[in-house]
Amino acid sequence: MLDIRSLTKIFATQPQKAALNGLNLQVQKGEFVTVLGSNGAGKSTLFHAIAGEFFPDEGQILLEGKNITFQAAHQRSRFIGRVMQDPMKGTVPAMTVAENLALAEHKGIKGKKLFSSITKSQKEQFQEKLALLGLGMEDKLEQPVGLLSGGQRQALTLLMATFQQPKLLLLDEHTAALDPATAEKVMQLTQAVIEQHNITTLMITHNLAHSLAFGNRTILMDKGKIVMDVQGDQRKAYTPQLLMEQFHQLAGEETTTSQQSFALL
Amino acid sequence: MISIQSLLGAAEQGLIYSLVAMGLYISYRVLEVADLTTDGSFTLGAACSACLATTGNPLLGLLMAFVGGVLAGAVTAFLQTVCKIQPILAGIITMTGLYSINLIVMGNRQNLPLLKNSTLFTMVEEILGKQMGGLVAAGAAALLVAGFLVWFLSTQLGLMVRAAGNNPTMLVTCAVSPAIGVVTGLCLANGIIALSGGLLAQQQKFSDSNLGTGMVVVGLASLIIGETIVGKGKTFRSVVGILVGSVVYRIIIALALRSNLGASNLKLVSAVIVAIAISLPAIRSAWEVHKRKKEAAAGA
Ligand SMILES: Nc1ncnc2c1ncn2[C@@H]1O[C@H](COP(=O)(O)OP(=O)(O)OP(=O)(O)O)[C@@H](O)[C@H]1O
Ligand SMILES: [Mg+2]
Repeated sequence: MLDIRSLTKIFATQPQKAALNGLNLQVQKGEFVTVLGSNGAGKSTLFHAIAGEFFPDEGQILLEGKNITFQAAHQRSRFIGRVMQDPMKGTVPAMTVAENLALAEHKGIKGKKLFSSITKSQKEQFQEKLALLGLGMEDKLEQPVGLLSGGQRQALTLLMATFQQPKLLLLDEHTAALDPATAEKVMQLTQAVIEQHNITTLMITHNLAHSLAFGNRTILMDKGKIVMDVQGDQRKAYTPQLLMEQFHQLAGEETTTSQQSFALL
Repeated sequence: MISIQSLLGAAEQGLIYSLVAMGLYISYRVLEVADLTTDGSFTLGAACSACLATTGNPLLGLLMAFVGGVLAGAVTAFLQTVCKIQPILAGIITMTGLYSINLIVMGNRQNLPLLKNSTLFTMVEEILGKQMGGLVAAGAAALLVAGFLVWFLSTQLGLMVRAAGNNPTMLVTCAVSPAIGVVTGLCLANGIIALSGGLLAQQQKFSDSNLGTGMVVVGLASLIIGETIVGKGKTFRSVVGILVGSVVYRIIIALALRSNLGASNLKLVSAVIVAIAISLPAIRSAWEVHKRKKEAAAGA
């Protein structure tokens, strides 16, 4: 389904260090992969490359057999959904909840009725979807998104990213900016939407317990490469403690700083 | 202190110039770029409109003014999105090029008088009389464009323009290239601004190659005065603010003309208004901090 072959990216500002260093990754349809790695391991860079924010220096990205390595980012968005860490990034703060949803409802410009305003039936449909989130946003259709809380925004972004089921969903620490209770709530919503539509998903997290509790495969990145990949029965036997030990071993000498960012829940 | 006559005159002018502020609302407020194409596209509109009015086609002239402005906006948008030139510089480049084009449109003359030619304004004045005709024509044009703008910014394409200004990343995740929003916005903004120039040329019965000089500042002044009086908010509120602000701005100018400031200092007055109005939030917050510092010092 997703096939990444020897992907390399070296940023001009850090020529001595490859952010992605010949990375290989194959993901099957319906897989939910959690991605671990210390700060600077290249996790977000991998996601940016998959989403097309920049083109890699070397390597290929194939999605369902199609080579998308040099496809423009906005074109990939038709089948790749994204929720980023920063709640400000996924929505337009100056526009209302309904207006944000209307833009996200159909991907691309071909599916949109360019010269029509939001209809009543659209609003009712939005309200139904928002009610399912259970965050009280169904009454806030006409409010600017800028007035929502971070958790509400992330839930809204998740809804927008999965409005039309994407082939691939990328979640980059999408609950990291939220308080523990809201983070838990957004994680449950995430789990529900992924299971409901069986969406192939990659999720970056710094939470070791989450990385095992969610999904069916866990990978560990270090220095632009995948250094650990567990799934199936092998993964079932893992505990956060075991993962932590492996992490120290595999992610090398630089783990002292990353220890702090790893919360053992 | 100011006669009804000159008040009506100010209203008429204000309504015509309100289109400049509406165009700048799209580029400056919605797209969040300072688009300096404005000066050039305003003059281009005046040139197109005057040129066709001399051949007896004033209404076609207004249409061509709009079309010309759209094309000017398209050039700036092309420079911004495809050539990746900074928005301000892209606007300056187009504006500079337009200076020559405007002279060509006016038949290589610095100005083009419309003394005996029929215009939109003479046509309406024939029906409604000299007193109200001009005001009605200007008002109708302003309300038409205002209504269009409110409607347009609520459509899907309008939402794309708004998203392109406020958060282009989100537009990318919706599988729309932000360039579409930028192109649409700049074309529409400059089309409306050129229409304003076209209307002004027909109203004052002449076009001049320097008509648009400083028009960005004039438009921004009206926009900001409107926001100060009516407040910011949804598009509807902003557009009402623009109509009010443009008329108020013209009244201020009329007053300045009657005092001993003189016509040659008008641009300076506009510049000062804009500088003060745009820096007002910064001045206000600096003042707040200053006050609280003092209070804290007094409390300690
Ligand atoms: N746009 C960029 N320009 C230059 N260097 C970059 C850029 N993006 C990332 N890098 C560098 O690439 C490396 C990998 O960064 P990346 O953001 O992918 O790490 P990460 O694994 O997501 O870390 P974190 O857990 O902190 O989010 C870092 O050294 C970073 O400084
Ligand atoms: Mg990251």
